[in-house]
Amino acid sequence: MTSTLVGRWQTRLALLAALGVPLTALFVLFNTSAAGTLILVLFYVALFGLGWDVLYILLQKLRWERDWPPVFQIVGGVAEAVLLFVLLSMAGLPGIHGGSVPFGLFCGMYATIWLVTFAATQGPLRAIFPRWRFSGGRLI
Amino acid sequence: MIARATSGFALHGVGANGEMLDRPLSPGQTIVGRAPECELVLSGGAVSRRHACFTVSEHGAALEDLNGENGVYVNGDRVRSVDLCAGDRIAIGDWLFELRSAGVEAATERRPAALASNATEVVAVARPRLPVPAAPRGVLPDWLLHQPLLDEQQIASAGVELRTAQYAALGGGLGSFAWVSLLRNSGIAASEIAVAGSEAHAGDRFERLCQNSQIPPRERLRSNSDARPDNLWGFPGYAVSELLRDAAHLRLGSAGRILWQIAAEPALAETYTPRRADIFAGVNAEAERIGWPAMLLRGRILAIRKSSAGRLLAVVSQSNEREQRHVVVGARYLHLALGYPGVRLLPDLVAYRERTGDHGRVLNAYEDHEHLYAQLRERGGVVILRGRGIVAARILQRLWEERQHNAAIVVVHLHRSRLVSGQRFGATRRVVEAQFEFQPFNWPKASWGGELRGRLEAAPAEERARLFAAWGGTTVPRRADWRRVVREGLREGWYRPEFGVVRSLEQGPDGRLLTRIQTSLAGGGMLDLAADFVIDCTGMEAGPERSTPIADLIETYQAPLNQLGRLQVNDDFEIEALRHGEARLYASGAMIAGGSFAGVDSFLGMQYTALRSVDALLRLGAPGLRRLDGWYSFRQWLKRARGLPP
Repeated sequence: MTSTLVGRWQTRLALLAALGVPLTALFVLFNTSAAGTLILVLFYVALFGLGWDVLYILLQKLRWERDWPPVFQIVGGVAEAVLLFVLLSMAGLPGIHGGSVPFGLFCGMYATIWLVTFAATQGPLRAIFPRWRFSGGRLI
Repeated sequence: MIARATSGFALHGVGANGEMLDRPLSPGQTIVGRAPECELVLSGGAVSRRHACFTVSEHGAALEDLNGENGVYVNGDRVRSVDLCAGDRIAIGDWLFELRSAGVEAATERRPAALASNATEVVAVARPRLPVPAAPRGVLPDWLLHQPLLDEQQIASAGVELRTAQYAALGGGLGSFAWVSLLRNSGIAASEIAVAGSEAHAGDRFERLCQNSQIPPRERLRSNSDARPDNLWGFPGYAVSELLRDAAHLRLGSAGRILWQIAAEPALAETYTPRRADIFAGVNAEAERIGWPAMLLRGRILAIRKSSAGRLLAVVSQSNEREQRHVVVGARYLHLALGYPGVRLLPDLVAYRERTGDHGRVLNAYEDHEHLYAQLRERGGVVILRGRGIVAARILQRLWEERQHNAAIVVVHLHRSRLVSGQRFGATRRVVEAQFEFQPFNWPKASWGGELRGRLEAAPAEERARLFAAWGGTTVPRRADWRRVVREGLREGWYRPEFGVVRSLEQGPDGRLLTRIQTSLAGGGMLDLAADFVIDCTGMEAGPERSTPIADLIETYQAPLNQLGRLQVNDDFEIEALRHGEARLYASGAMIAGGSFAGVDSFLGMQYTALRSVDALLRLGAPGLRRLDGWYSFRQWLKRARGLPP
């Protein structure tokens, strides 16, 4: 990937909306009691992600190629998950009490959404948006 | 239809006063002219001092006009630089030649018995008819061809066929292929598209360039996995295709390596690059799917003209040994992609070759030079390499292979100056190792589609020149095998760099090549380097004036050049000087380098320029054109995946 900041934001939000929302709905279906929490978790993944993207772009400028190899995406995905879960379990976030999200459920949902959106950026997205790879990840 | 020599070429000709000429053409270049230092001296007032140059390699024969004043004519068409076909009639000044190959009967004269029967030859034909014959029917006469606005009525009355289509791609190589493939996937029928070019297959020309620069079919090109000329979405990439094939054959080690490469390149792994054979197999399959053969009109593009009917016209010559014939292709939306106009040799090497006629020991890496490896393997010797790019790395690898048979091969790598550190840009810097500067591709990756692409497009011309200088330059990908060769050579002493500016190149008293350099290292001084061969690996490209139709565009329509001396295009890659009513001419490839996009001559770059110019056509409301995006794009992608026509 050779995304720009705006491209990263657009791609992240679009993929979370198009794939993350239905996948979250699926998890809600089987965990109706935690529905509100799961929806909020998705919201925080998106919100924190916008901040992470700023960090990624700063790091990307330290690379000659100004690119972001898939292995960096994987490391970033794990780091995002760890930080979010630590915050959720230690202090909680607005709307979510500290320690109220079970580890297994968080891992299952986060990993599913992350894997599907990651896979989409590795090619399938280009079949739908042929200009995406030339526009630094922007969709509009 | 390149003439292939099986046992060399011979040149036969007849002059204005009936004098005959009979002489073999040796591999390499043969300069023809009136000056006594030419390899082939021709008499006659219409012959320039250095008039033309024949180049013979195992891949064919080519002819170039060196002077441009009196012209070189092939089958009656004036040309600047052209691949020769069997049967071509060539006029140089008052002289007339015919090129024939084995199995082709001469139309006018029997082949001289003295020649080997399987030789390709240039044979004299009955005089006088050229240099500028009155145009026969079916051919545009010169006076008509040279008008900037062509009257379509006059084309018809000259008996020349006019083929019209909504879209026309001129060139017929991979650049044309990218544009046509996008049009076909954007709702345009094959019957609405004409392709004009001299090659039978879109990949032929590129394949020949690969062959010449030591890239056999199984070798990998310096290109990325998702830069697929046969798949404008770039998904799945070559890496995934190769990985699946490897996995299916249980080559799990190789499959795993590819998976790691595409995940971690270029930061933690060597960049994945596709095999030449896979690229061309894919292009051929896609050509069938989009109906390329039906769109293709084979011939040499002579000129592009504005027409009285508001179209743009391409004059295409289909002349051969039997007849002269022009076809005019008329369209509203055209695309020009003629590829590299040619390769230039370093000036001091040209001077040496012209002075001595020695073409066998001072070579360009793109010339056929197998004899060099044969001699080195047998007798050993010293080779001087000039230029530090990817071609030098490939040649060095080949020399290393020869060293496994004969350890008496020594390589001196001559650089102008020592590379102390890599190019800097912002907070980053390229890595230098043993005088090679590393970069996976010829530009940083983000100049195809990231931060750097946007930055270049937004920059004014002077700033663009600065960015090109910062991102480009001579680099090689960081390949483990090449690094091993260099390290081994330095350690064992058979490979060494030297630094200096070449002052002279001549034959020493012992007959070897003597390169005298003024060393650029501390302390200075002159240094003589004796060698058996000098190979120019700089790969300098010739300018657009070397191409017949582009030189004509510059001359006829004052098509402007950019700061790099290439054709100037706008950010949609349109040559604005050729706007004519609703008609538009777009371009791609090496001839438009220096504009808003860096990698114009790469696979991915050709797809990007195609997307941009077709987006411009969408804004113009080109009939029948649909925007390839969203659900429609996905459906077209699915059709391709299933092998269905678009």
